[in-house]
Amino acid sequence: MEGTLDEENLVFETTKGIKPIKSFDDMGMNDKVLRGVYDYGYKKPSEIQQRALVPILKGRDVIAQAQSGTGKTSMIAISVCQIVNISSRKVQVLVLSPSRELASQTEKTIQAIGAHTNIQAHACIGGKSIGEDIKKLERGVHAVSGTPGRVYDMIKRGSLQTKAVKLLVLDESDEMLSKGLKDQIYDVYRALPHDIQVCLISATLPQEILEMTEKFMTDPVRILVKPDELTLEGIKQYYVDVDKEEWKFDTLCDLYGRLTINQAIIFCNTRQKVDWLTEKMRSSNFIVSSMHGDKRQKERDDIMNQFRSFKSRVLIASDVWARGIDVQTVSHVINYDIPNNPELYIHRIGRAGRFGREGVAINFVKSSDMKDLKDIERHYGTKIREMPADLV
Amino acid sequence: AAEEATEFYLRYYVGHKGKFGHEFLEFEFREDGKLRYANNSNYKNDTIIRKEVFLTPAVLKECKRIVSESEILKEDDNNWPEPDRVGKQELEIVLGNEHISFATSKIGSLVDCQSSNDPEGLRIFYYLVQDLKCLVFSLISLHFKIKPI
Repeated sequence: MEGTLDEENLVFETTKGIKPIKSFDDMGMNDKVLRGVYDYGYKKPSEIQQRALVPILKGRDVIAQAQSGTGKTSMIAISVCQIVNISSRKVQVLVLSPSRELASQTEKTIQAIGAHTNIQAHACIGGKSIGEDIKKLERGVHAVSGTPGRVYDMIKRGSLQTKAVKLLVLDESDEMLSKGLKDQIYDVYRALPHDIQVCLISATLPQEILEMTEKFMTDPVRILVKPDELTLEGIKQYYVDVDKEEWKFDTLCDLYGRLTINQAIIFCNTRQKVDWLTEKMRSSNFIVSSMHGDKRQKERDDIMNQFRSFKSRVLIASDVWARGIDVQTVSHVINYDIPNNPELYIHRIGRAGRFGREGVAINFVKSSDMKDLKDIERHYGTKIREMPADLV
Repeated sequence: AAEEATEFYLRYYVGHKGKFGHEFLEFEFREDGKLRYANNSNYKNDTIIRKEVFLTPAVLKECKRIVSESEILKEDDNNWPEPDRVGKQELEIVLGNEHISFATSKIGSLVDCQSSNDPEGLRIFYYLVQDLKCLVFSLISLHFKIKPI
């Protein structure tokens, strides 16, 4: 074959000999947590839960990769609930996430799954009252789910005591270890006990991130998915050749009339573009809400609540929404702009098709972006079809 | 039955060289039923993915059918765009006593076919490649991918 290379590079692979555990009953969880899991609606563990939960519960360092919407966050929540000792009111688990919304979603999942255990979890995120944070933390909580900046702030102030922390989870870990966030994570890491258990979770874990893990993880159990096995069968992927940027808007309006959308996310690459598109849609009498990192937290919270409660149906968002957010009624993801990297593509389209549901992803491609779309397609070994005219 | 006895080989390659090294997708069908697939990128230090499966005669027969019904063997690539910096596609097929080996640039969408010097021929190529890719991706995922839920 023409292009074949014969290099034997150091390749990280899934740890050999991991036995999938097919039932939550057999994972050694205490009854209260188990009851929480079933009450939460789970019947049977997903593939990643079958493989990664037990090693996490046994105290191993774990790198867990799995497709979007396959129960990674709830796996974190289950672990947190099982690992903490309720009788000690010290922070024992720290979960870090790249966005405030994801951090508070994880905190809520911990509360839900831990409903029978009296677990106290706290979302420690930027944009909220510092005073409240301090009060909550000093009263004592078992687990903290937060964003790196605020968490580090609380550690520096001495309000978040780290001595009893035994597990650090980095959700969306490739993002957390990316250039922009790595230093902040390292600051937090240095403040934690040396023998801490570390778990990395994400749908996307590029090789360069895996290489980095050698430095702060001990003999981790790895559950990995190759890039070409990462897309979900349930998400139909299409593109629309819009040729020029100017034609995207009309294409969007046209789609709006044709598609039966339950709930949709429209992604733009910049905050300014989110604002611009929101204005433009509203002035054409479409009802849309919008979300990006420049908005005040109160507004972000309101928008999330409205969207989660189905009061708003179409959300125009920046990539602050790309990772981890779980709204199961989202049926369509529209990439108004092609994302800046392949990982973001996977995360964005993964907002639809949660936990085995069906979804549709539609990409608006101007001529100069076609190359990037084709690269995404090849990278993930998936087919993104030209959208048929009769799609509804 | 005559169809099954005919000689058959098919190889498709699409790729380019750029800042993430030689990124390409390539697959080949061989007469003995072996399907080989490779997907390479050095993006964020990624390495090559290779997968191989053996296909049953029924699948191979379907693959031959797709090829012969496309009538690609009647085309030639004289008037197709030359491979360029954006990338290259290659298609090599042996079916019975016919043998083609085409090379052209990457095709973004049907519009690119329309605007070429051989819209008819390029469109046949474009659709055939799509069908083959879909077939290969389906076969490879059926064999290697687990259902995550």
